[in-house]
Amino acid sequence: MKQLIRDTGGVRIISLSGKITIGSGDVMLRELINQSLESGHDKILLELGGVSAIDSSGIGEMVASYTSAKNRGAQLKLVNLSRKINDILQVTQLITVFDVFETEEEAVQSFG
Amino acid sequence: MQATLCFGSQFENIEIAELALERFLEPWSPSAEDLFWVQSALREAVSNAIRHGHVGDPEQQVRVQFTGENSVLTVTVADRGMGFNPETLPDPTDPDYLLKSHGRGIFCMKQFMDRVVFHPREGGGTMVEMTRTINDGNKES
Repeated sequence: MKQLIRDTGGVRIISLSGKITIGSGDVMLRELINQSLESGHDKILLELGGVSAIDSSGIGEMVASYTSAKNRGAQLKLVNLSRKINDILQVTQLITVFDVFETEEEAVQSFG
Repeated sequence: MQATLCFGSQFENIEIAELALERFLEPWSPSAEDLFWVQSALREAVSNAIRHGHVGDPEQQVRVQFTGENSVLTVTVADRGMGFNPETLPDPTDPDYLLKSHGRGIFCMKQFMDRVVFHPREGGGTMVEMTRTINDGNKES
């Protein structure tokens, strides 16, 4: 998994690409979110356009990151999901948990 | 058509199993959709064998078999772990479990495949058998 981190309008945008799967991407995702939270970022946007695959471990890390952010009073939102990742969030019903946006502009504005 | 693969119980080997499945299916020209979901189910099954079956012991062997017959792919993944009762697993979509960070692997396998059955193995361990009808990608519009 590769990542690109940007800060725009008070929002930390973490763009991910490749696989978020057991033994590699899942751990990296956890570390990226924890580092952002620890450095004081309370508005985090995960941009998933380049993610080719995610497994249950990757999904689990996304859920853990969401909970971690919420417990610290921070927000974690998602943008630019591929159809397959959207399908996975639908079947696991996590689509009801995450705030999901189609465009980055829309997502950044939603943080207020 | 059948192929069998045995490898050490390490997460790095999941990619090899996925690649082997892709090669196995090549003569069928599977749709991208089918390939994605069967590879995803395989990944979950092998992850379970490594993490829960063999509890991270890299000396153990995971055995994977692909069988293709009349457009139906059957994938089996076998470990030598302690075994488990899949009926006792909670539903990860239940509101009490929705925010848990684990427990979605078998649920996902069942969503991605047409049929998923767990068998206890003689001598110990579990074999999961998963089937899915594979559509010819060349015939899709």
